[in-house]
Amino acid sequence: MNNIIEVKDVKKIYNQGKPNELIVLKDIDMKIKKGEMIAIFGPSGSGKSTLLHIIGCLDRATKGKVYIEGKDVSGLSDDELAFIRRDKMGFVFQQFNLVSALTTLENVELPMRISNMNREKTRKRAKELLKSVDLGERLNHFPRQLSGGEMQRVAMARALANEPDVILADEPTGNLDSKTGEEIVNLMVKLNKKGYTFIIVTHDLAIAKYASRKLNIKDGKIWRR
Amino acid sequence: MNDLIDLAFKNILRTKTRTGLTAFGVLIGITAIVALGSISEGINAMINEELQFLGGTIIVTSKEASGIMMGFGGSEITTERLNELESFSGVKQVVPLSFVVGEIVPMQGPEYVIVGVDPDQQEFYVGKGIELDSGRELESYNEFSVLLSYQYAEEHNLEVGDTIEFEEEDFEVVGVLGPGVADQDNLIVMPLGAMMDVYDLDSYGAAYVVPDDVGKIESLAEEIEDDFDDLSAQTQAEIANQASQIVDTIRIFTLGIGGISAVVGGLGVMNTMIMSIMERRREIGIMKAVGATNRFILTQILLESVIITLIGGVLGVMLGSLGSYSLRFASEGLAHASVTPQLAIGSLLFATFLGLFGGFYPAWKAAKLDPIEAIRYE
Repeated sequence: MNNIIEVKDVKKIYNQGKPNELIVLKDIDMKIKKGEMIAIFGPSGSGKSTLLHIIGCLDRATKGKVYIEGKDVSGLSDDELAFIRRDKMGFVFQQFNLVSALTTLENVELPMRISNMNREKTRKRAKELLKSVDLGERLNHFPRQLSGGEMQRVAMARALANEPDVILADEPTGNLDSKTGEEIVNLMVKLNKKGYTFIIVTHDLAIAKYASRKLNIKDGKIWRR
Repeated sequence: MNDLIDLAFKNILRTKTRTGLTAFGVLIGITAIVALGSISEGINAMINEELQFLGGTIIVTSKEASGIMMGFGGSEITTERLNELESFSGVKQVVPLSFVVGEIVPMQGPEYVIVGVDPDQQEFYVGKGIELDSGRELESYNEFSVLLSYQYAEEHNLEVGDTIEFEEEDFEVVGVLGPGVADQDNLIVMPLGAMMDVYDLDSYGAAYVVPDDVGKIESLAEEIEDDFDDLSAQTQAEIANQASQIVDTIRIFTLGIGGISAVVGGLGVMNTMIMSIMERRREIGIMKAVGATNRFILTQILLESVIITLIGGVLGVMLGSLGSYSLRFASEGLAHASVTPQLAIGSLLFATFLGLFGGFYPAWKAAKLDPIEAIRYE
């Protein structure tokens, strides 16, 4: 019963009932325990990113149920889903997705500011987080002044800001050379050892090495566990 | 909320030129509203002021007297009464006066009519900026001096420096009114205090009541009659009514012109905000991914557009005030142009409204963005 996330019979169909109907996910079932590091593999278009978005409450399943800490999130409103993303999820994307107008420090502060955390606490925690990803010296740099690896570490610090239950990473090393990619993998492994649960969509075999479980998605189905 | 404002400022400063131009569009509209509005306020003030001498006052007399000329004797307008009237709501000022009518000359009417006025307030009877043929105006409440109408002085061969006797007291002729100033040929104007003393009066013949707002003169007169059974209150309502209609027309016209230009500014804001959210689509998606609710995004965008219009609004009020101030020197007719606090606050509220009006659609669009699509957007 330590399932932090449970996915039951989830289907995702775009343009349902129309001639261009597209079934992306078919009857997905999965359970994720706290502290796991799951790597999801699959060819592009297999639906793995969609699954990640559904687990992360960025998207809704067409059918089926998603439980987060035992709570069914299928019927929740936009705002309720936003609160779950804010408090329980941390996202890391292939494109880093930092806000270009904000400094490193402000980017990490963003989720805490959205959750109305006290200003001083926010600043203190953001600094600590950046220090923990070895960016303590780059607080006032803007994203364009950082390298890819640095941007991804900022994104990682941002994902940790509100102490999420799960960190969802969509090809986190996909835009990095193998050396910086490895740094990010090492960082994720380090955080996983601290107790953070990871779900990583990836092509990167380096990640597979450390994953506690590997899932393969093809044609909208999980093939191997 | 503080955080939101901080973020909003950051966002609008990213495109300084565009923000500046958009705010400038609002500025023009608000400047027009303030400058034109101040002119209409000025015209309003001028008409109000004129009207107070031209019938914009209420004439209060005792009901027992058959008219203002007969006011003395049976009058009941005591000093106490004046104070009651003065404190009546909607009353700006009460100016007492008295009348003494000389012997009736057959076929000609009274030999003279003496009007007792407070020298400080004589314009209520003889008009503003009193025009003298010679001599000076009355100076003090109790001095034994008189002003004569041009015709009376001529008829009786009197000039400045002569004396004239009433009730066995000598009064010095200190001035002669210009021809055409008095509406009666036989008019004599005397300081009220001296008149009360010499004729031994203990109440006044009539009082002018000046309303706070000439437009409400009619209802004020009615209220006075309701409250004071024994007094009658008369107005020259027709004039006041027409004048207030003219003022309203001018006001609507000027605010209309200003309003149209401000609305154009508001459309500029909408345009800018739509462009801004298109450019920041991805960023809005990111904010949503890290937990921003639709309302957070909506508030954020609205705040940005209101900040832009308020910058335009504040600068517009300043520029409009400056314009209104310089207009005073440009034309005597606009000497009263003034930016009232209501006008300034109203303009800022309107600027805020423009921000909400121009920002709502883009903000709503931004709030409704699908985060996944927005994040993918390049």
